[in-house]
Amino acid sequence: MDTKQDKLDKDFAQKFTRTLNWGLSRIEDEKLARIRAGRQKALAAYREPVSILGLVTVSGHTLDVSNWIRKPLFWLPILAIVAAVAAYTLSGTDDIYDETGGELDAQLLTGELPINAFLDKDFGSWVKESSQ
Amino acid sequence: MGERIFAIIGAVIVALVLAINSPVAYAQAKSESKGAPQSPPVSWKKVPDSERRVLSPLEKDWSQLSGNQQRRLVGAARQFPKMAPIQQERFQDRLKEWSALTPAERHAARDKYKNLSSLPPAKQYELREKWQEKTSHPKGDAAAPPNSPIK
Repeated sequence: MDTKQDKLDKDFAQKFTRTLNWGLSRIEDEKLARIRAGRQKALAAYREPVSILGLVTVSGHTLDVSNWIRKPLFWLPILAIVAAVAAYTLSGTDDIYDETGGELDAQLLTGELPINAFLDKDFGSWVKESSQ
Repeated sequence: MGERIFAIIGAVIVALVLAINSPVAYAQAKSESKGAPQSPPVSWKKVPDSERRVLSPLEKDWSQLSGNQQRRLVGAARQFPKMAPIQQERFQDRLKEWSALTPAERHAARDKYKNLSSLPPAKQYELREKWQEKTSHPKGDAAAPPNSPIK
């Protein structure tokens, strides 16, 4: 049985529908054609909602790949992956060189003094005294 | 919803790439200085042919060296073609001895070498002469007697 609130809602809906329908017969042909075309376009783009693994339901449109590739955000992770792979590949060759450290070690190993000199305490103290 | 997921995945990957390849992280990872993080080892096969030839005396012990030391050695071997013949000879003679030192010993030796290099040439010459004098007349208290004479 309808309550008082239900009756009020129905009355409002009927008035609203009458107001909306009032001008329908007076719509110009050009506008009518545009509305019709818009509706058809919307219906063509509509996809039934899809359930993913029974956990989430998303608009069928979300799973349309042709829709994704037109969006700039789709390319962001792809570009990031490409950059990551490129960086890893480049660092794979350069990463094995320690240029600065290697240069210093090469100078030490090729100098006139043998390695032992640089391990000798006396020699170390002479160098230290001379530096001061 | 899909766009947001893509944006989050992209941002995470970009952040990871930047963190891994940042110059600071790269320099720190390669350094053999005290407290520096260790770099992963470099496979002997991954060393380019030209450097591998120079480092061939170390082939057997290569896997025993730390990743940082391996990188320094490969960096040093890269200088080999630019060296004078006498320097190339010294480099190969001393390579094994150098690699057998502990990281702390190498660190100390580098510090002394840097200090010596910062002195005026005349002072460096004087110290070299003094060292030669000491090693040609050992007094029995030499902490580390030299293996090879000064050329």
